[in-house]
Amino acid sequence: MNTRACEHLDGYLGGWLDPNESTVFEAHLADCSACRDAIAESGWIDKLVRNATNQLTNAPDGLVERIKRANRKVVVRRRLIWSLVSVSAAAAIVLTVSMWPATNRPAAPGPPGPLAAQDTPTPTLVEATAARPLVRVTFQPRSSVIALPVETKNVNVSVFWVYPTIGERKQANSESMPRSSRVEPRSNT
Amino acid sequence: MIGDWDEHVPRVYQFAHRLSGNSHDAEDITQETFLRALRGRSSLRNPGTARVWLFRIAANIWRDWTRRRRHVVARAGPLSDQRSEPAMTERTLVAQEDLTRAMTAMKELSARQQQVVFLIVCESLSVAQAAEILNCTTDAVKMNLSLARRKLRTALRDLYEELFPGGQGRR
Repeated sequence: MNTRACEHLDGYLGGWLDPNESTVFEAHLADCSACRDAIAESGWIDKLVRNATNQLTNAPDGLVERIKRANRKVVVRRRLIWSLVSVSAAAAIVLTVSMWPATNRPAAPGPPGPLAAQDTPTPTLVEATAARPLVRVTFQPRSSVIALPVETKNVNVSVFWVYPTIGERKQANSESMPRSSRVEPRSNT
Repeated sequence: MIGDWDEHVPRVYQFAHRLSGNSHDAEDITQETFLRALRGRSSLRNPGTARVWLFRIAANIWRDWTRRRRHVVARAGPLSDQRSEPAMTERTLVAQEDLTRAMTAMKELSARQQQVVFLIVCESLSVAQAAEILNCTTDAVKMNLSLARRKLRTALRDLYEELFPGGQGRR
């Protein structure tokens, strides 16, 4: 008998039919001697092939030992590499720690000053000439300022902090005020 | 070193034999399989799937080899048949003849069909597992298995009918 159900023979033998299809196919087997024969024959062939494979394709003697030996070499080599890496890393850490104080010692405390001046050579006094006259700063008349000299390392440079006095500030403020709000002195009439 | 995997050596060897078709390559593939397994053991998350995992490594090795050898073979011509089965002892002549017939029938199958038959029939793996190992679709596995079964039935039919005249299924 060759029906549509017979087409499921391969799926049934291969085990990829779903439970419903399997049930239907098993019901079909009751009526189909061809499928029953094919299943019995395949079962016998499967067994024969399994036995043939197991008995005629034996792993050669000593294969397991050879594999073990080869793998042992790999493990030993790997351990050696890891040991070397660990020792190198430890040595690098020890070296870094021992060198740390020498390379990263903080500077000795001293008087604060411009950092650039510490590294520059001591300058010598240069006399003013016609080509290089002294720089003079003059304030406008009626200026009232306080000038404080700042210590420098260069003898050719003088630095002053200039602070305007209160009178100077008042004048500056009154000039910036809007004209309408300026307080004019009252005249005697 | 291979410790837990010792028991898989004969099966990996058999699978390698199905892949390569000769004992010399099968031995090399098996050895390489366990070396790679050792190196990549961290990728085996579930020890219960070690067998499938080892088969997959073996199949990958064989694929790499065939890819590399292809041009060498093309230049050198076909390799001589180096198949040499181990000597069989203490077996009945009839059984030995049956097994030899079965093995001959297996060798008549295509390489892929042999591999599918080995994984599903001999190793009882699922179609999905076989597809995963052989890096192909489940449909390809099903098709190869169906074709292989038909070829094996045809090749061994006379032996079957000799042993079971009238057929087992009709009893």
